[in-house]
Amino acid sequence: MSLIYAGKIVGFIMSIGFFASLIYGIKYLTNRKIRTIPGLDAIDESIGRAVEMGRPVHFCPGGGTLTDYTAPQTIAAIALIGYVAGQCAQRGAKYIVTINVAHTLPAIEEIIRTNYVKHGKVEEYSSDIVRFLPDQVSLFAYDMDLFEREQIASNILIGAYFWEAIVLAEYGGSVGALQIAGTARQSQLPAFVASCDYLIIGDEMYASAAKVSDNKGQIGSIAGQDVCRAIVVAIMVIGFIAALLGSGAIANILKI
Amino acid sequence: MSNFMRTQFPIAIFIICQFYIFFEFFIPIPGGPALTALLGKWVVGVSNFALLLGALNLIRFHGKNIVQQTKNEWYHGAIILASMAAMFLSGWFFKPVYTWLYANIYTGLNTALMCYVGFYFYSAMYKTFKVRNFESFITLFACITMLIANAPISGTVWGLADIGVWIANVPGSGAWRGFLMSAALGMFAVAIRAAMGLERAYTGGSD
Repeated sequence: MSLIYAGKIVGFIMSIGFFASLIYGIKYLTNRKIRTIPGLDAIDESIGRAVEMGRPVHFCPGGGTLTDYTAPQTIAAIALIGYVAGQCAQRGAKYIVTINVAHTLPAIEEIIRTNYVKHGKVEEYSSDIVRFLPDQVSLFAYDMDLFEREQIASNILIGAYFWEAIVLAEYGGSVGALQIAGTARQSQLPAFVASCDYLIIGDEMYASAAKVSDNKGQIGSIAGQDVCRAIVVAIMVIGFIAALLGSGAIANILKI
Repeated sequence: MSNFMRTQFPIAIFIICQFYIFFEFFIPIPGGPALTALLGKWVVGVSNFALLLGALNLIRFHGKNIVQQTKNEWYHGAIILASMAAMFLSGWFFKPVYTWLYANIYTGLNTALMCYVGFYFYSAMYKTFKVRNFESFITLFACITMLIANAPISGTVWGLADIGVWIANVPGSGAWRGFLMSAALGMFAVAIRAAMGLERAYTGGSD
């Protein structure tokens, strides 16, 4: 029996290499500066707008779960929910989070409560901030009513989105909310591009979660990720040149 | 609940499961696939148990609105709780009634609401398809070419289907693959941050 499954050897070596790069980044590249992410800066602006207008800030993390391929997006969304909770608590904005995945509920309630406590506004925390709806259809039906009734000032749609994206984004725009969207699901990006004011695209969402954490290790991991990206780009360029010269060597090596 | 049970214990479980599944994907471990499948079943079980928390959130929020007669909300709450009770009781005691409610009310309402998706796609397209600058012109050109390439007329007009297919296969695929690779690296980084206990959002983020 071989030590590693055939066809997965290079994948395993590359995964270990990426792992090492990220660990290196987390340990040694902690003083790097992450570039400005306009969508992330717009979150602060939208909360300020909500405070001035006396209207609520709405956040929806989409239909992503913690149990499948959407988990990293959901984790990033939960981290940003916590950040927005802290900002709302600090500046006195009303905050509403609507979700439709039950097992994310305890983590979301906890991170919001933690951030209210952290900013000394525990008395303003209410269990009514998080509202659970059982599926995507009921989520957007409830949200449409909520947007109209509360006239939300800010609509933050960050997470793994499915077909509900276009309805939430278009309806949020119709009530005049400043809209910030972010997802790593490519099929929903066009809907957000068409309807929202600011967009956090794919990888930026994970970087935003690291940036708001203010944790040097997390910021270092973004630098480590850039090392991985450089390796991937180098392999692609070498493979491209090899293919132009009529050699399939790189493609064959990657299949080992 | 102690800090250990709230944060360190879930992180320990996460790290053990994450590394086990990672290595099991690459390295042949006797009985490994069976254990991975069992872990998957546990995940489904725990997720379903969490539905109870969702139901409690619904009852608490809407129950409070009904009791406090919250303006413009209490009657929504009453409808939601009555519907929940009707579906729960009929599902438990009167299966034919449950099937009838599901097929004739739930499915109909669901389908009607899903129609919003199509409607809003058209309104979003209308806003997007305005040529304000060169980039929006390229977007408009690519979208119209793709629309025509997928319409029955494309076969009769020379070149249109080919242009649409080329846009989808060459610049479109290239851009999406670059996006996917970048997003995949981001996912990998989140997993490593979580494995090292740096990313704690999934535990509620408490220290």
